[in-house]
Amino acid sequence: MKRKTWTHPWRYRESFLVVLELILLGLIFEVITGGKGAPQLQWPVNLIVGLGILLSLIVIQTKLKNRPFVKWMSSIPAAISAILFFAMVTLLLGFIRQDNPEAGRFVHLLGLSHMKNSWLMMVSGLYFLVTLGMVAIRKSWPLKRKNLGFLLNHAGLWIIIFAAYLGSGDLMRLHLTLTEGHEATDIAMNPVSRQLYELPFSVELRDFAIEEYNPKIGIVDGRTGKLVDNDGQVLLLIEEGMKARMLDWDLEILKFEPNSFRAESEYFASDSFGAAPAALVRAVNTASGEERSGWISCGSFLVEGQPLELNQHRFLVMTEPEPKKYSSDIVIHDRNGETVPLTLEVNKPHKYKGWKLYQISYDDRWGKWSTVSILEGVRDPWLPVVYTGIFLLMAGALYLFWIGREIKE
Amino acid sequence: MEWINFPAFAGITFLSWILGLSLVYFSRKNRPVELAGQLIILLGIIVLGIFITLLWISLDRPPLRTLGETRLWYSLFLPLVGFVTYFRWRYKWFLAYAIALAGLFLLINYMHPENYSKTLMPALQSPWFVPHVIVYIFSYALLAASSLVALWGLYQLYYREFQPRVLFLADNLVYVGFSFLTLGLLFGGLWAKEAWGHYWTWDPKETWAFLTWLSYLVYMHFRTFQPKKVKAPLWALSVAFIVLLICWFGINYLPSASNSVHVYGN
Repeated sequence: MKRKTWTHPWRYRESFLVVLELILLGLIFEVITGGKGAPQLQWPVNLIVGLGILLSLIVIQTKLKNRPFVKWMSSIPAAISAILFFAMVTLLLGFIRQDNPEAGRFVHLLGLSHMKNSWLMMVSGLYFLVTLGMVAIRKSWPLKRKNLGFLLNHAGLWIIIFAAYLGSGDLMRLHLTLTEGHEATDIAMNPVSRQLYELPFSVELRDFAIEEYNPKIGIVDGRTGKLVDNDGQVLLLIEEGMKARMLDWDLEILKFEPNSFRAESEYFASDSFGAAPAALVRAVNTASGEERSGWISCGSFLVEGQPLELNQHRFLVMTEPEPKKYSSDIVIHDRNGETVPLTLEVNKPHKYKGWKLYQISYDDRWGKWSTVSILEGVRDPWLPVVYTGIFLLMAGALYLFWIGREIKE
Repeated sequence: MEWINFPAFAGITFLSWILGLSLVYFSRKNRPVELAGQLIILLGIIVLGIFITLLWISLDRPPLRTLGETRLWYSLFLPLVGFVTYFRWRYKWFLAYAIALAGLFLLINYMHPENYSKTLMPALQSPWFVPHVIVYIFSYALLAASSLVALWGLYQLYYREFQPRVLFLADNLVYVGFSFLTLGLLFGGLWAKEAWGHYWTWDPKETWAFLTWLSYLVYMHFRTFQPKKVKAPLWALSVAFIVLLICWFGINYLPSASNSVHVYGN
C-alpha cells in the first residue's frame, strides 16, 4: 500500500521535500539581500542566539517529544537528508571558484560565489544542527551506558559546528607587516577587507631569516627550455664533492658557495645583499669523453644566473634553492612597558594575551635577503569550545574503532 | 638507500606475496602449508616495511610527501588489512584482492620511479605530519577494502547468491576506517591551527575530505535505519569510494588547488 506524502511518520520523501523547501528559502533570502550573504553574528549577539537555539532544542525535545514532527526531527531520514544537504552545499563550494570577482551577476546573486557565508550555507548548517542536536539531546536523557559512543560522536560534532559557525563572526585574522630596524608597531590589517586595526600591544622585528636547502642541478634542453627527464631523476641536490651521473654525463661538484658574487669568470664567497649560490662543476661525457667545466649559478634578484653548456642543446643549470625555515626574532612591547622577546617560525606560533602570532610571509621579491617579515595575529575566543567538540569527537572515533559495529544478526 | 634499490625490495615482497598466496589458496585445509603461506606473506610485508624505514632514514624526512611515496604506504597497509580480515573472517579472496591491489601500486612505482628530494617545505615540518598522513592512509586502505567488499557483494547480488555476511564485513571495515578518517580530519584541523592560523579554511583538500567523510556518514546511517536493504548500501559504498578517490588523486589536477599544501609532487 502506498503511503500518502506528509502523513506521519515522515520518512525520506518528506525529509527531502523539507530540504527542497529550505534550499528555496536560502536562495530567496540571498536574492532579497542582494547577494550579500548571511549576516555574521558578533559578540554578544552570537552567544545569545546560540543559547536561544540550544534552549529551544532542549525544550522542544523534552516537552514535545511525543509529537510526530518532533520525532521526525531526530529520525535517521531527517539526518540523512541533512547530511546530503550539507554535502550538496560543500560540493558547490568545491566546484565553483569562490570569491571570483569575474563571477556572473546571477551566480553572485544566488550566493554561489561566496558559499562560505551564503544563506544556503546558513540554512543547511542550521538544519544540520537541529537534526543532530535533537538526536543528541534525545539520547542523552536518560543517559545510558550503551549510548556513550553515540553521544560522544553526535554531541562532539554538534559542538564543533555550532561553535565554529557562531564564532566565525568573532574571529580576527590580521596581518602585521614588520621591517628590520623599524620601530615597534601595533597597526595590523585585515588582508581581505584591508581595514586597519590597533592591537593591544606592539611588535618589533629584530631579525628575519630564511634558511635554505642547497639548490639542485638539472639538465635543460635549450630548444624547449624544459628540464630533461633522467629516468625519473630530474634534479639532484647539490653537495660539495658530490659525484653523480645524469643522462650521459658524469658530474662532479668541485666547489659550492651558498652565497657568492661573480668577478670575471670566477665566483667568490660573499654575504652581501643579493648574493647568489654558485657551484663549480666538472662534467665528462661517458660516450665521447668530452670534458666541460665551469661555474653554474641560479642567480638572485640582483645578479643573473649562469648555465654551463654541455653540448649543442644541453645546458647544466642550477635551480633556485627551496626554503627550509623562515624565522622572525621579534620583541613584543606591552602597553605597561613589559617586553617579551621570542622567535616565530612556520608551525611554531606563540600565544600572547588572547592572540596567537604566526610567521606567515615575507617580501618575496628579495628572497632570503628580505628584511620584511609578515606576521599573522589571530584572535578566536570560541576556540576552546571548538576544541572541546574536537576532543569529544576524537574520543567518539576511538570508541567506534574499539567497539566497531554492534552486529544484530 | 635510494629509489634505485626499490626494484630489489619490491621484487622480494612481490614474489613472497605470490608464493604465500598460492600456498594459502592451494593448502586444501593442510594446516602447515597454510601457515607457511601466511608467514611468507607476512615476510613480504615486513620486507616492504624495512624498505620504507630505510627510505625514511636516507631521505631524512618521512616519505609521505609525493604520491609515489604514499603509494608505498598503501602497499604496506592494504595487505596488512587484508591479512587481518582474512585471519578474522577467513575470506581468502579478500586477501588476494588486497594483495593484488598492493602489487599494482608497487608496479606503478616500479614503472615510474619518482624524483626524490630531501627538501621538505617549512609548512610540512611539524610533529603532526606523520600521524595525520599515516592515519589517513590507514583509513583509505580500510575504506578501499570496504568498497572492494561492496563490489563483491554487487557481483554476488547480480550473478550469484547474495550472502548477508558480505555486508557485515563491509560494515566492520567502514566503522574502523571511518574512525581513522575522523581522527585524520581532526588531526588535520589541529595541525592547521598551528600552521595556518585556523583549523578550517575550506582548502580544496579539506572540502573534499569533508565530502568523503559525509559520504561514509550517509552509508552508516542508512545501514542503521534499514539493515535489511542490500542493494542501496552496496551502491552507496561504491559511490563513496569515488568521492574518496577524487579527494586522494583528483585534487592534484584541480586548478583551484594549485596553491594548496596538499598538492604533492614537484
